[in-house]
Amino acid sequence: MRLLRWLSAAASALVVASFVALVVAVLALGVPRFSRDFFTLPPEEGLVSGGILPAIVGTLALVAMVGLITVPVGMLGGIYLAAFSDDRSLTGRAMRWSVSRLAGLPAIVYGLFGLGFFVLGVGQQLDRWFSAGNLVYGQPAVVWAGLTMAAYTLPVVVSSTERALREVPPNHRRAGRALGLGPWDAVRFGVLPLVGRGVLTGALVAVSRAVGEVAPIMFTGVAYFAPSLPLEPSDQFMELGYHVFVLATQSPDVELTKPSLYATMAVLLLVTLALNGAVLWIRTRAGPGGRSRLRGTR
Amino acid sequence: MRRAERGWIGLSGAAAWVSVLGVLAILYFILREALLVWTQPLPGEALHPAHLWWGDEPGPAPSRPYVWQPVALRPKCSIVPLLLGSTRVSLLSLAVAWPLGSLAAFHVTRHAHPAVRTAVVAVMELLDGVPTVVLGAAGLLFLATPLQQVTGAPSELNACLAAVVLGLWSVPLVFRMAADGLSALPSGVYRAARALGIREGAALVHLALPAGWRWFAGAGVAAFARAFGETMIPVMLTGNAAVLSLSPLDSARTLAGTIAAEMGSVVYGSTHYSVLFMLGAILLAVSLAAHELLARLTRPAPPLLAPGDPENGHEAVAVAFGGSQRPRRR
Repeated sequence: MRLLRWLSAAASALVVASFVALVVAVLALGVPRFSRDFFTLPPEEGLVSGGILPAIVGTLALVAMVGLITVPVGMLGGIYLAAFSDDRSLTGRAMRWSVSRLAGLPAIVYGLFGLGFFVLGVGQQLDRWFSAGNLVYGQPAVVWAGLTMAAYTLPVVVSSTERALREVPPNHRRAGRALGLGPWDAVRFGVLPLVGRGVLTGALVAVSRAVGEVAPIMFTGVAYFAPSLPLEPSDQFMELGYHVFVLATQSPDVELTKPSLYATMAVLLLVTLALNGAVLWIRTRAGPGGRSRLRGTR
Repeated sequence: MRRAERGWIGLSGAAAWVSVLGVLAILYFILREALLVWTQPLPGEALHPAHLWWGDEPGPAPSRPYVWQPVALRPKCSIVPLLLGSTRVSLLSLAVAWPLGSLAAFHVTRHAHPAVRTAVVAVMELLDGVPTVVLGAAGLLFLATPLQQVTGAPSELNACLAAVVLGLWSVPLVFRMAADGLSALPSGVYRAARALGIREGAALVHLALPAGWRWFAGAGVAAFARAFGETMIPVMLTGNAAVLSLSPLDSARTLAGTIAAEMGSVVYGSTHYSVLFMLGAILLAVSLAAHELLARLTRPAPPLLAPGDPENGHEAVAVAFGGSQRPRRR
């Protein structure tokens, strides 16, 4: 028994130590390369010098698509699942089943779906109709990558919204109904104001996934090197996560590009740590939709 | 009902339908592209289904079966080395993540000081959010050389390296589910057992494990499924050689890694393109099957005891240790 205690403490310590070592090493090697040029210039000289501005803008474009599409659609879907769908009916079960299975699908499957559906399906059809056979939208582009990423992050927002709403006691809705509100307004004014935190954490997790995941955009629009900013929806673009992948595995000269790699990793790590730290901070403050995770695991 | 009310409810219903349509669309488009090789074969590129297994002409046994060489004068597309690679890497990663996550959960739920518990849980949540591409690059930069020196593997990039990093990435998932499993036993029952003089180890084996084994098993299934489908860590760290090997020190090529590495350079609509979608369909099927199993495993079990009866705790302890259950009082 003492051995088990000792082993379990060692396991916790090992995980914490690996995480701290990772963060410290990446930041210590990456942050010194930060400069104004690094954030405001495109990469130059075979990715050796210059900055990562196009990758930052491309990542922000993905985040914007997720914010504009996934967050509203996911929130509405979550509200419907929690408040209006019948858990026992076929459609209600189909919806809940779909959300949970979509959440578990590998990211690369979304990438293939984006290629088959958005790029080669919708995109080529648009070209046939509007551009007389010229290749404009029927190829990887920032708009298709953004839509693929929006699909990839959707189940997170739906299920976190649903979970947050279900934690509000049903009496809040009943009270609204008793005061003469309709079914939607009872949810809108009796429940939604209480679940801001739960919905916000869902949106933040979705954004953090959109920033960090590379597989969904790999064939749907991201480019190895695209120094000009993606201003048209049909442009290809650079992205932080893919830039890390390129610098780490396909760099023309590994040693020369290492400083840029460390610095890009540090940027990506800082952004995702900030997003997930915010989620943690919001969640640990108790209240509906913000179940206290830190005090006891259940 | 006001018209606006109906509109909002209808709109939210439509938003909920998006997920159902999404599942159907993903299934349809992945399968459509995967079957393109048989529905619209290119001239001279017909693919016999048996090629997917053997990698070469069926009939007289090929000299070297099970080869993945999709870009060659005579393409060979055997999925066997890729299946083996994905399975090998995921099982190895499970061997890292499952003990680490379960032990850490045991530590945090039972023995850790509250401040330590807060710190470990916070690290788990933050680790869960680290992008896999950053983990992969860190494995490449910081772990590849030292690990090769320890294991003596022939190459810096091998299944073992990918499994260690994948394992670390899976620890938070295992941790969360194992913590759920450990708290499946009502704490009153545990305390009753301890009050009856039962040692901690015995209480763990005879009470906590029977109550929570579904979550521990589920943690393994979930971590395996997630590692099986993960793209960036394997593609950066396994070395990507499609070898038929069971050794953790050899290189491996995974299904997802193959798609990531090859989809960028295929001709849309070609046999190679279609076969890559077949690999995606396999990933899809494995993910759906694993989550079906997971849903069955972690479905809320009937309660161990009826709530509210103060004597229940003792009864459950007695049953767990071989005593017979007393007849229920009416």
